Amino acid sequence: MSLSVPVWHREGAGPANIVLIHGFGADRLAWVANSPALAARATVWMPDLPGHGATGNDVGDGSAADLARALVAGLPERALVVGHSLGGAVAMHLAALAPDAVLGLVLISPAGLGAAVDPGLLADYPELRTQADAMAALRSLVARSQLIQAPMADYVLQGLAPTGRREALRRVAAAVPEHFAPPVIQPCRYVWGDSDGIIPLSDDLRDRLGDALTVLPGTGHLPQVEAFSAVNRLILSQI
Amino acid sequence: MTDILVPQLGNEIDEAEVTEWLVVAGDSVAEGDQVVVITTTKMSIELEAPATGVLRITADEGELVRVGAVLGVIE
Repeated sequence: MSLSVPVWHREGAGPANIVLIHGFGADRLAWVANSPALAARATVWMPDLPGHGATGNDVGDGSAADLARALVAGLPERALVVGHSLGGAVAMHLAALAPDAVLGLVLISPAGLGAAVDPGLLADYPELRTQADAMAALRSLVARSQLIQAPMADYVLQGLAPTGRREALRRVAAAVPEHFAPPVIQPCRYVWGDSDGIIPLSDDLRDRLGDALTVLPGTGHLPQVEAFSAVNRLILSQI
Repeated sequence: MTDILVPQLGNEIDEAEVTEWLVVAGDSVAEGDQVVVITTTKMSIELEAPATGVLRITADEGELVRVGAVLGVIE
């Protein structure tokens, strides 16, 4: 099975490199509240994963491992890699595939640690067709629904329109529960919202992650939007 | 006096809509309180008060504002 070559976008021009990997159903514009702050101090690299954004729809077997394989060729040397949700699992695989290139990880409510991912969102997202359905799905991602407005729902529906996109996302969604990431490289920091309804933060996870975990109060599954100032500060502290 | 400014949000976004003020003009706010929701074509975010003081609103809900525009002032 083939993998589409990812489209990479770049902002900023610092000596440090930061790679931002979006989650399921999103694209590099998940990071609009983050890239300006980070680009002041680093070169920021934002790929669209296969099956997402401007990248083609060949997702291999749909696993985080395959999506990570697609990124290796375009990865800058010596980068801090930040991944959100499914992008977190991709980031962990990327660190295993390119250990000399990945200096460290920041994982934002990542999949791939064995915690349950809400099956409803994975099933519903590739099938969204109305603005109302898209609004409802997006609202489940955040703690405060005022952050979900019609333009974002319309943007999501437009993103689902290209031929082959929905099928690609179904394949990726089907792979999510079964593929877990390899052991995590160090240094690695974790960020999680205490009100995440998509990948809930269990007590077991809190214990396992210990001091490497930063919990954001009143925050759902999109900390990089819902608490962007805190997330930006944390990412910058790692470069 | 400290301005509440529309922040830069990625290279391709140069304007936003003022969606909802979360506090009322004349209210006291603390630095870091969330005060307003703005919406772009890609997403909405909440902006924090850059200082502690009394809020004066200069851009109303529904207005389109450009990056760098003043939404309100903390006095």
